[in-house]
Amino acid sequence: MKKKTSSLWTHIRRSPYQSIAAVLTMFITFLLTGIFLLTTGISFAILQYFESKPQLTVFFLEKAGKSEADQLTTILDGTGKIASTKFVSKEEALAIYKEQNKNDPLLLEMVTADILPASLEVTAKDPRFLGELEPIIKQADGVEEVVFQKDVVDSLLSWTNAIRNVGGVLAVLLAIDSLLIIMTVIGMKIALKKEEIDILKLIGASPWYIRMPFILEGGLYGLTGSFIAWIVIMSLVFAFRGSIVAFLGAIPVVQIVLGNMLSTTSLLISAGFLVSMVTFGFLLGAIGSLVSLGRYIKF
Amino acid sequence: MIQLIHVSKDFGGANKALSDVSVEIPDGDFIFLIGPTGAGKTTLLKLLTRELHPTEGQILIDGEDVSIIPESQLYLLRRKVGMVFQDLKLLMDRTVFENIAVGMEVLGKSTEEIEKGVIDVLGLVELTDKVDVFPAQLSQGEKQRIAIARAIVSGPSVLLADEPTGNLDPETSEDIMEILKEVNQMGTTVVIVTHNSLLVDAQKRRTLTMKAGELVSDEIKGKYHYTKRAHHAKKHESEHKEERKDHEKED
Repeated sequence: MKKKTSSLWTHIRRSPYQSIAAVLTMFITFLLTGIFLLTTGISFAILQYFESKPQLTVFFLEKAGKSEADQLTTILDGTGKIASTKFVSKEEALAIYKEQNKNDPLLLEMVTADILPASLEVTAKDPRFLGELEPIIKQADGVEEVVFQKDVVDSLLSWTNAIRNVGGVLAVLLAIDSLLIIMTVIGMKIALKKEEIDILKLIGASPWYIRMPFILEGGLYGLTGSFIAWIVIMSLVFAFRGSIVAFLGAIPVVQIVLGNMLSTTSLLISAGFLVSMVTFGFLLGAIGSLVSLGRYIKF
Repeated sequence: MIQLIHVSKDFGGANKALSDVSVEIPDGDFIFLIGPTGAGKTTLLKLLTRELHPTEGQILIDGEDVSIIPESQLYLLRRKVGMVFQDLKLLMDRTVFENIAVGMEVLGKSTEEIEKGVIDVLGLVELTDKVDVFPAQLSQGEKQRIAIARAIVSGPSVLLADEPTGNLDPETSEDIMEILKEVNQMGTTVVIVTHNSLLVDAQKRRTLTMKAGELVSDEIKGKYHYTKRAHHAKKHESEHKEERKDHEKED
């Protein structure tokens, strides 16, 4: 192994510019792929957050309250299409409003429990049932308005899909680009060492003895590039942590991961992200080398 | 045991590089393979290491047909058959130690085994003081010895040496020959391709003579000048036979 490592180091040292080009390509690939993965992850977290919220909220007229809500709940339960319901009284609505606007005393001064309507948060067993439930809810006593989360979720879903598709295509194209660069670099190195390879073959070196330094070299390019990309991504996340938390702090996952970056969960997620990146980087480099070896060295 | 059974090699030119060569070389034999340039000596060695495929015939080493070994398994044959190349094929960017060690590294030997093996074999070729020197800093004779050391360090059962004394002065050539004899005494079959008539004559060993791709003589205690003369005599005799046949037909 020691010999293989020194042979690997010699390979890299003898053509540093090609090695730098390979590492840089891998770095760019993994930087963009990593950012895409994070963006996709956050998009899904946001989507999940909204999907876990009540799918529709029923606001009652000013005079209506708990009894109308109970009536409606009974009707809805009878359909067998309801997962859960939650009644929010005028007082509770005021408490929520106060919590959301605690930093703006002016807004708090002007609001009392009387002007906030009581509401019923309804979650269906399947979002497809919402269309059937809407007319039932609207015909119920004391109902003023029905607000669907569906519109928000649909809009978010289309954004998430767009990010996933564009990012996915970009990541695949970059991975192919990296693969081709690694194949070219390793191909050039094989050509430079052709005489030595021929000698090794003649003195009884097994195919894997000859292949291994090249595979490790390609793998090392991928590993180094992806590791640097991870450092840059984590630095960016750390730098913009405050803004992200301020904007998306309501989403529990964002709060857990970015609220305290030294928490066990946060560290575990960072470590998992690192392991995934470097593993994929190593594999991408090694596969590029293997393809190149298959093309340039015949056993 | 090496067996060549009606082996021919045709590169597509007017003449065959090897033509219907059959010979058996028992284990532990010490053989000279001689003949003029272009006689097919190196081609024969390359067939034994499967650098080339025979056009016809069979080559068996320890009963295994060399021609049908898959490419991916060739290294096993080459570990069995060591070779001292005519152009030596030393790795110029590696030291003497590294050049020899590579012969054991490819076998997956441990660092300790490699160190011991290399030092032992350097002792045999009397170059222990050159361990950290690069090939470019060595004389031709020293390079030859390093090439031999690399070929034998892995303990092959057969050693093929293509012109191991080429371009060497008589004294150094004798030293090289002594090393090869020692290797042979350890049980390794040694096949030496040479033009050095003095060495062949002095050793009185089995000598195969080739000419124009044909094996023209196989002498138990061959001599370079003797075998050449024998070839001429044989050729003269066959020509004489042809003439006699023609005369008989005319009569």
